[in-house]
Amino acid sequence: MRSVRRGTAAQLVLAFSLLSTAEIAGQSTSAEELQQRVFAARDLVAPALVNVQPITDVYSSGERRSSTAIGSGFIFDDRGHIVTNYHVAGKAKRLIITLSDRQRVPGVLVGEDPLTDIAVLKVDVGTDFKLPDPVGLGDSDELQVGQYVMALGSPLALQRSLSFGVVSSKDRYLPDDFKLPTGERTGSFNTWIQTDAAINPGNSGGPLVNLDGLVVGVNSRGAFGASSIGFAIPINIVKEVAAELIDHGRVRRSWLGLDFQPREELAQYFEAEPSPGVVIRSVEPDSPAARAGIQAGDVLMAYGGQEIAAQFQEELPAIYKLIADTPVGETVEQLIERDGEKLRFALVTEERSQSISDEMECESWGFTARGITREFAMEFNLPDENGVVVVGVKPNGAAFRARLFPGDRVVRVENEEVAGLDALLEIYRRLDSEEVENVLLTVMRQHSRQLVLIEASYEQ
Amino acid sequence: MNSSLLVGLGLLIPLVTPQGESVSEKLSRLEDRYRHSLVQVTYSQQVRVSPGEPPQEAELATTGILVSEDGMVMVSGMIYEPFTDVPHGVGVRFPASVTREDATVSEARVHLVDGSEHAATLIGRDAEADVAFFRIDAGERRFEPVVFSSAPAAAVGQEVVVLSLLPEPLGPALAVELTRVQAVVSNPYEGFVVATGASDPVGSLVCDLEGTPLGMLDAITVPMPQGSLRNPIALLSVMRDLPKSVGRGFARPARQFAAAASRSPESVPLRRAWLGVEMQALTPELAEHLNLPVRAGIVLGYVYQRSPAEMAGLRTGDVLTEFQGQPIDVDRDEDLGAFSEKLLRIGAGTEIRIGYWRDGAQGSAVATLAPAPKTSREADTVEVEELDLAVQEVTFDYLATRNLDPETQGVVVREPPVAVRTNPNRVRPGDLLVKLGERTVADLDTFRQAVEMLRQERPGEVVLFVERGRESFFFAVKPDWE
Repeated sequence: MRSVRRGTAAQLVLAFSLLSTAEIAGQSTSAEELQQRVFAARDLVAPALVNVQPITDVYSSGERRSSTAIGSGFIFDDRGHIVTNYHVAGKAKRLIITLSDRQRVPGVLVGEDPLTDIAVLKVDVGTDFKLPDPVGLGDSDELQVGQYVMALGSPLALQRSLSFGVVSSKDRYLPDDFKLPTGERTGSFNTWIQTDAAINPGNSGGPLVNLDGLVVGVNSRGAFGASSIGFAIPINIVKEVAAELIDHGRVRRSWLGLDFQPREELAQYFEAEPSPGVVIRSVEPDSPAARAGIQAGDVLMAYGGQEIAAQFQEELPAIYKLIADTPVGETVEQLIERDGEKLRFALVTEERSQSISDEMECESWGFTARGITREFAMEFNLPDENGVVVVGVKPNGAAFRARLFPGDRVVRVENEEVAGLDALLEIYRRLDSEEVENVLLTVMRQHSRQLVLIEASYEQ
Repeated sequence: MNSSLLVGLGLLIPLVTPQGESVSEKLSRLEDRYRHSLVQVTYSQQVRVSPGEPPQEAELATTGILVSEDGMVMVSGMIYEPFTDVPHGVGVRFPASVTREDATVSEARVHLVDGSEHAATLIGRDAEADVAFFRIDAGERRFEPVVFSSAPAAAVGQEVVVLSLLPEPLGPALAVELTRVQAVVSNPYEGFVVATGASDPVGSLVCDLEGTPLGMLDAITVPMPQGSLRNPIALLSVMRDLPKSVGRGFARPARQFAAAASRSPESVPLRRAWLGVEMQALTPELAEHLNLPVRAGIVLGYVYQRSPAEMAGLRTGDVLTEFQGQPIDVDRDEDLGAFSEKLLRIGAGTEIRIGYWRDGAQGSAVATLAPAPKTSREADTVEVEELDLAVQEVTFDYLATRNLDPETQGVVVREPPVAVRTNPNRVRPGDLLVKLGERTVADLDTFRQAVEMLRQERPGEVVLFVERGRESFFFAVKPDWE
């Protein structure tokens, strides 16, 4: 089904490319012709544009509360899949999708990928429901700086808005420690399309479209305090991620425990002349790389036989992606340069662990908690990933009175170790159903161990 | 019966002693007697507005009392509190157990009400008396000291005089205020409370109508649960509590510091004693839940490596119930501050006996209190102008709060070079610098040596290698050898 539709898209591309060639041959495009092309492109995409309203549980106040937001999205295929941002629809328990004809339909979350900030949804309607045709997908590698693009979406919830501009940069590097509002890292595997087409809150998840009416990016970020600086995720990586999410519900990635720096920053130290390779700045303890003996300061020259080079930072995402895309469990040879010597290491990739954790409410104890991911443990240099982190403490609730604080790491309940969120859930349900009055938590507050005696409250 | 009789007598004193002198005449005489004995001390100090931020230089002031003819000035020990940017007058100190530090001050000056002004040097603190001393550098000039004695005690209702300094732009000028003792308190601090309108009361002198010094107004510690100071919400709630103390002053009785004021402060041990633990109060509910046969005590939340507590065999989770053969009466976190004060004042080198519960069994330990090790706030610092870099030594608190091994080597970045701050992975304060160029940096000494070598080699670029938790980064710095 999809291949058929892609055929249509390809024909469209062909049609418009022919037109473009003709125009270039003619050496001029009148304002009227440009206007007509904008209209044509708009008409191709606008029907597939949707407004996404997720209903999400938030836990930051110490109890579970429903929250909502507004974002944008577009119909991705003829099976009713919709692409939007993870930061719009991720973790949604319910979705309200408003189609371009203003019909509101329910949606479900198919898969989410914080690392690229992509989520795939599906409209939850009967088979006889006729959805608009999906968008056509372009090739983001072919974009040029200065090329006309349009952003469609619901900025500030103003639905079906269109803004117009050009591609300001096609390989913008944004630091890989950029975090989503939910605390997860994102954007390590791609550079970004920068555009001056206005992108505002609410545009997130909406399509960035070229004059051929093909989607070339997913609008995701603005630069606040600036004007006319917005960023879109290139559609080529979106295609790959969306396909994985549709087929498997998640994206499996490989992990070696390596972090890189471009050579340019350290040119004189590592080599006076521009040269191939990328500097390994960090080797995570207990990772495949650390176990193999790779060290910070080594220079990675080749990965699985493929030569590596990152002179500048915008070349880093491709290297992270190369590693991530390696099948999990595969043995890959690394060619390393150390003090002028060439060394070879064979590493077996491991599956990169989830960067997000679920959250839960311990209602009668008056707090909410989230599991500890490898990333979280790394960031706070925790000795292990055991326990759960207190997200919120309900004001004047049981945990509040017992002086539990957000950020405390709960490691034991009474005499039971809390390995993670599932363990806490199991213990909580048991003690809650028995209406146990006093519950002793052992928590780590920074390096100090504290005993917190909660007098549970079973009213309500 | 006896005590109420004493109070009655205290009330009678002003009535029986005057020989025709009116109250206003007395006040005027007191003003004349003490106007050259109270001074304003101004100084700069590194303060930290919030944990995690770099310290900043602040201009601070406090009231001091001259205690010797040759120019020794006594001030409240609160100048050793790191959060001194909280206005002094409001009567709040932060919990000793969490934040008390030795202070470094610079550019200290002493201002007298006659308009004269002298440079001064911070001599240090008498931890037991909880007062600090500045010496005026005034050559041969003689001053008019206040002489404290241990004898007098204040009684509720007693008429007393508060002698304070008016702040700028009126001062420094002496203000004399007739007031009464509102309460005599003993827990958690021993002293008395007077009504006062003094705008900046800490360091003010309280005496009776005859001029006998009774005490000094001071700020008190607001006890909070261990570690919660790191929680900004807790800090805010403290700030919110501030107005409660307006209109009242807490006075510490003269006997607490009379001896310290009279002896030569240069000989006073200035470092506080340290057991090396994080503590939590054992509430009666907690004790009951843990099936302990006591109703008060202290739960050890953390035992610092190589601390006196660790060497005495104490462990995280132990419940201390006896101190020097006496039961520990701490049954709420608010009482921990007073217990910490007690420890601080015992003095380094002293042996203490501790009784504790562990896994349902009783045990005892003898610990020798050590001088407290340096914290990151008072760590030695090296600045390298050519690299636009300041680093400081690794301290025990730095290691503990970052879950680092005590054997960790390196120096801590205090101020990163401006030029690399624009790097997206920029070096940050608190990063651990482990390599400078090709040279491994183990501590401040090896750092200094590495810098010396670089000064000779004058390379065009120096690469710093820093660790941040489980991550690490390289940074290239272009030194300015000119």
